[in-house]
Amino acid sequence: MTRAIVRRLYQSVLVMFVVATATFFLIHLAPGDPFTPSIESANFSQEIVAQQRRNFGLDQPAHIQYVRYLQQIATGNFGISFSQHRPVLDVFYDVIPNTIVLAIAAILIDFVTGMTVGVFQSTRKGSRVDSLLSAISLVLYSTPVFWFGLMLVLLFGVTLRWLPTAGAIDPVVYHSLSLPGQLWDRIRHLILPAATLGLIGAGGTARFQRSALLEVLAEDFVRTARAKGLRERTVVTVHALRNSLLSIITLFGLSLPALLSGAVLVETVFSWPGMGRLITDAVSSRDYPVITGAAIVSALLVVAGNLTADILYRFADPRTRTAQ
Amino acid sequence: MTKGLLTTVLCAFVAASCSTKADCRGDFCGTIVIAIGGEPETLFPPASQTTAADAVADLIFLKLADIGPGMNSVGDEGFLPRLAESWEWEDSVTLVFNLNQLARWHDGAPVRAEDVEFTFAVYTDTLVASPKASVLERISSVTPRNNGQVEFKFRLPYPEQFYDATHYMRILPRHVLDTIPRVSLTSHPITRAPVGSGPYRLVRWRASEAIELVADSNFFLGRPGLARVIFRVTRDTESALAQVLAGEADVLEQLVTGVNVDRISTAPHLRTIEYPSSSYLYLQFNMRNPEDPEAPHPLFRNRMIRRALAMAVDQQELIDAVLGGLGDRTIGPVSKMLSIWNDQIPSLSYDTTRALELLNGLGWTDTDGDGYLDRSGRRLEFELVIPASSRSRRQAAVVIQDQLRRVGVNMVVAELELNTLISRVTSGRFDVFFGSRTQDPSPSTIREAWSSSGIGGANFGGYSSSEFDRLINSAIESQQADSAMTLWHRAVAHINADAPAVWLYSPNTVAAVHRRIEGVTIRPDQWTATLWTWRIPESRMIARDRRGAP
Amino acid sequence: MKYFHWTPAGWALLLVIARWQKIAEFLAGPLENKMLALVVLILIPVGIIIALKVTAIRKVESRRLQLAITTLMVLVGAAAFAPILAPYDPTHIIDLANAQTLAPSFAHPLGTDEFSRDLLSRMIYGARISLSIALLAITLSITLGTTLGMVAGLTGGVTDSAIMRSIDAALAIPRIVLLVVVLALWDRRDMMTIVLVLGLTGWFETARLARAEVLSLRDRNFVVAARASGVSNVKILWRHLLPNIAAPLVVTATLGVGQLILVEAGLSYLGLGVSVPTASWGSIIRDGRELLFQAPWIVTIPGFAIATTVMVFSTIGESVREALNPR
Repeated sequence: MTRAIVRRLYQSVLVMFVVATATFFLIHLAPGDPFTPSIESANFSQEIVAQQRRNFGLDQPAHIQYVRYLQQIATGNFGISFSQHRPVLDVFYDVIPNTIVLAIAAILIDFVTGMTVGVFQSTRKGSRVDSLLSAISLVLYSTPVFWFGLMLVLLFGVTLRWLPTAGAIDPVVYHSLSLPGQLWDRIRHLILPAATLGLIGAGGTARFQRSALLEVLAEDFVRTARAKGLRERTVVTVHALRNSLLSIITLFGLSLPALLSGAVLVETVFSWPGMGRLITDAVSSRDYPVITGAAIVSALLVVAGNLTADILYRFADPRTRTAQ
Repeated sequence: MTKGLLTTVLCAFVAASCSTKADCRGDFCGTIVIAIGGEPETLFPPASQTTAADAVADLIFLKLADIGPGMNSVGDEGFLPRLAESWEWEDSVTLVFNLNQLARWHDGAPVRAEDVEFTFAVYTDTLVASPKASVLERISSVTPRNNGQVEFKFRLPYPEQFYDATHYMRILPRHVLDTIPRVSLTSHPITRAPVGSGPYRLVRWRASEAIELVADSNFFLGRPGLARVIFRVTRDTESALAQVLAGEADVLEQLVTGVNVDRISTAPHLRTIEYPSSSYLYLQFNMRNPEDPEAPHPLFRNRMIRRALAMAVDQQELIDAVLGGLGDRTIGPVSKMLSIWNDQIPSLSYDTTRALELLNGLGWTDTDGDGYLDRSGRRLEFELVIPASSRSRRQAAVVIQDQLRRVGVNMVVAELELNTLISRVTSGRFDVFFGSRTQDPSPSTIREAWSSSGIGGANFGGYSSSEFDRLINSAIESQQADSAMTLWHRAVAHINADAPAVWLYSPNTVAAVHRRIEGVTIRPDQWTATLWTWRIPESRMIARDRRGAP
Repeated sequence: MKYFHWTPAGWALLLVIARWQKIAEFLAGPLENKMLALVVLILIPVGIIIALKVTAIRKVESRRLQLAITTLMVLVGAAAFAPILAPYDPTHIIDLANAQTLAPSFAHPLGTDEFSRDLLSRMIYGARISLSIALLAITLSITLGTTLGMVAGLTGGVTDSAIMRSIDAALAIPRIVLLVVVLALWDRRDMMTIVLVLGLTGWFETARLARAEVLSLRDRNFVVAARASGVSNVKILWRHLLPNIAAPLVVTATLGVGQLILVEAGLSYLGLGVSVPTASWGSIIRDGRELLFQAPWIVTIPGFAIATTVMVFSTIGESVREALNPR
C-alpha cells in the first residue's frame, strides 16, 4: 500500500513538471507584450518599457528564461508580479486562504445536500418526490454557475437586501469588530458565493449518489441483507451507503477541478478576493508570472485532492487494502 | 436544548457586530469611504502608472510644493509650500528649497535635504524604470546644502522649471529605502507598507478589497479633517454607484454619464460636485500608410478630406447621446482643465453641406447609388480602431459611424483588445484611432502628442507641421504669460485648420459626495490633493464616523 | 415512429412561411449565414441518427425524452434560421438616445440592451453561436480523444504513458483556468478560435474512456484472432474496436455538448468568448451584468436559455445511457 502511494506521489511530481513546462511555453507563445506604454497619459516612453522588460529578464532568450523559471519554481518562487509589483507568492498568500475557505464551504454544501437528497431519492425510487427532486437536481446541474450567482445577487442582495454581495468582509467596519463579530461578518459574506458554488455542485452530486446507491441496492449482498430480515434503514445506511461511499470519494477527487473552475466564475461574480478573480485580473493585465503561478498552484490543489481521494479510497475499500 | 444554544450564539454574534470600540468625539473624527474602480498597483510613487495609485499615494506622500488651484505651471506663481517652506532662485538655473523644519516622516524622523537628493536619484535611476524619469531630464542635479536646504540645478533656463522640479516627485524617505537594492525597489514589500510624510498613513491594505488610511494628527501643515479614509475597491462604476446610493460609500469621484448623475440627484443624502476634466477625446488620422510607414496615407495625406470629415461630425449630438449632455465640445487638443482652454479659438464647425461639397470637389461622388461616395471604383471607407473595454467609446463610435454615413462615408469600427490596440497604434498600423488623452496641468504635453518631435513617441498619427512646431515651441519657451497665451491660441487654431484629428469632447467630471462632508474642494488634476482639508462636523456624524480609528 | 411532438414544429413551419421575404433575403445573403445554418442543421440530425443507430433504440417512449427532442428541434430551427426569424439585425443600434435598456414590450419582446439593440434578435443569433461552437468543438474533441485514446490503448508502452501522463497533467489544471491561460494568447477571438481551443482542451476524458474500453477489449478473442491473422492496427481499430466502443462515446458526446455550452457561456462571461459585437448567450449576460439593478431581464433571459439547452442535452444523453444499460 505504501508503495502504491509512493508511486502515485512520483506520478504527481511528473504531472506538476508537465504542467509547469506547458504553461510556461503557452504563455511565452502569446503575441502580446505585458509591458505596454500607456497611450492615454501624458508620459509616454518606449525606453522605460524596454528597461522594465530588462528588469524582469524578458529580454533573455526563451530557453534561458525557461531554465531560470524551473529553478525558481523548484524553490517555491513564482517570480514577481508585473502588475502588482510584488512577489507572486505574496499575492497568493493573500488570495489562497480565501479560495480554500470558499471551496471548503462549497464542498460541504455540495456533498451534504447532494448526498442527503440522493439517498432520500433512492429509498423512494419512482415516487413523486423522487421525480420532483430529480427535476430540481437536473435544473441545478444544467444552470450556469455564474448566472445562478447573479440571480442570487438579484434576489438576496438587491431585492431583499439580506446579504452582502461583494467581497469577503466589510472593510469599513471589520477591523473595529470583536472576534465573534468578525466571524459573523465573514460568514455573512461567505453565504451567497458558497451557496452558489455548492448548490450547483449538489445537483450533480445528488444525481450521482442516487444512481450509485440504486446500483448498490440491486447487488446480491444487499438482497442477502434484506433476506436476513434486516430493517430497510439498516440495509441502506450500513450496507449500501458504505459501498456507494467509494464512488462518492472518487467523485470528490474528480469534482475538484470543476469546483475550482466554478470558483473562478463565482469569485468574479461576487468580487471574492481569491485565486479565480486573481487569474481573470492577471489575464487582462498580462501578468505572466501570476498566470503561470496560478495554473501551477491550482494544478497542485487538484493533484493533492486526487491524492487524498486516492488514499481515502484505499482505506475505505477493504479489497485494495489487502490486495496491494 | 440545542435550539436554545443556537439562539444564544446567534445573539452573541449580533450583539458583537453592533458593539463599538472607543467612541471618537470631536470635529476630527470623521470616516469617509471612497469607492474606487481600480485598485492601485503600488503605493511606491516612482512606479505608479495609474490615477488610482496616484490618488492614494498623494495622501501619504508630499511634494516639495503643490500646484495651486489656478493650475498655473509657468514660473512659481500660485504654488503652495508643502515639504518646502520657501524657495529662492539664485540664478536662472539654480533653485534652492528651504525645507519645513517641522516636517516629519511617519516614523518620526525629520525630513531632510538628503531625502530630496535620494528621491531624485531613485526617480531617474534606469534600474527603477520610473515612467516619470523622462520629464525630469532637464534637471541636471539635486544636492543638499545642509539638512534644511536643497539645491536644484537645471540644464537650461525655461518657464516651467519650477513645475518640473516639484510636480512629479513625491519625496521618499532615504533612511527607510536606502538599504534596498535599486533593482528590487519597486517590488520590495516596503512599497506596500509606505512610510511618507503626508497627512495620512497607511493602516492596512487588503488586496482587491480596501486600503485604509488614518490621519496623522500631528501633521505639520495642520490636523487633517478626517480621521479615517477608506478606499474601497469595486469592480465597476455600477457597483460603486450602488454602494454610494446605499450609503455604504461616501464618495465616487467620477459618475461618467448623465443617467448616473440623475440617479445621484434623487438621493437625499448625496450631492454632486462638478469639476473641469483633465481629458479629451479625439479621432486621430494616420498620416502614414498603415501597410508602409514610409508612404503617406492614401486618404488622410489630403488635408481637405480630413477637414471634410471633421466637419461631418456633430459633437453636440455625440455628447447628448453618449454622455447625456455631460461634456463640452473641445477645440483643439485641450482639456477643460488647462489654463489655455478657450472656446473662441477658430475651429471647424459642424456643417454637412460644406463637408459634402469638399468631398465632391475632390472627386468623391456616389456614382453607383449605394449611398456611399466613391471615386474611380473605390468606396470612401476606412477603419476606426477603438478599445473594446471602453463602453463610452463603443457607443460614441456607433453614433459617429451613423453621422459619417449621412455624408456617404463608410467607417468600419474595429473593437480591439487593449494590448492589440496599443501595439497597432504605437506601430502606426491603423487608419483612424479613437483616442482619449489625460493631460497634466502643463499644456506643454501637447507638444509630445502633436508636434513632429513626438513622432516615434506619443504622436501616433505622425502629424507634422513646421508652423505648428514653431508656434508651440515659442509658446512653451515664452516667459510672459500673456504672450504665451496668445501663442498657444494661435498654435491651437493652426492645428484645428490642419485637422490631424477630429476633436470630440471633454467629458465633464462630476463627483458624488455625501452631504455630511464639509469643505469639499477638488483640484482637477488630482482629486485627492485637498482631501485632507475636508471634514465632518460632529453634529452630522453617522455611526461609522464615531467608530474612530482602531 | 414517434421521436418528438409535431405541434411546435408545425408552428415553426407557419412562422417560416409568414416570413418568406426574409427567407429570400437569407438565401441571397452572406455565405457565412448559410454555412452556420448548415452546420447546425447537419450536425444535430447526423448526431441523432448516429445515436439511434449505435444504441439500437427504435422507439422513444419516455415522455421526457420526447419533450427534450422537441425542444432541441425548436432550438435548432431558431439557430439555423436566425436571419429569418430575428426581427432585427443583432448588432443594429436602434436609437442610442431613446431606446436604451427598454423593458420587454410588444415591439421588443425581450427588451433592448444598453446599446439599444433588440434582445430577442441577439438571443436568436446567440443560439446559433452557442450551439455551433458547442457542436463543432464536441466533434473535434470526440474525434481527437477517441483516436488518441485508442492508439494509446492498443500500442501501449512509451506512447501510452506519454499520452496518459500528458492527459493527467492537462486534467490537473481546472478547465476554466486552462482555457483562460490558452485564450490569453488570442487577441481577436472569432468563432473558429473558440471552437479550436474548446475542442483541443476537451478531449482528455474521452481519450481516457476510449483507452479503458480498448484495454478491456484488447485481449478478447475477436481482436486476438484478427491480430493473429495479420490485420493491421488501423484496421483493427476501425473495424473491430470502434463499433464496440461507439455507444459510450455517443453518451459522452451528448452530455459533453451540454457541458461545452456551459463552458462557452462561462468564458464569454469572463470576456474571453467570441469578440464583440457578436452575441453569444454568455456575452449577453456579461453585457447585462452592470445593469443587473436597472434592467434585470438582460441577465435573466439568456440564463434560462442556457439552462434549458443544457437540460435538453443532459436528458437525451442520460436517456441513451439508460437505454443502453437498463437496470
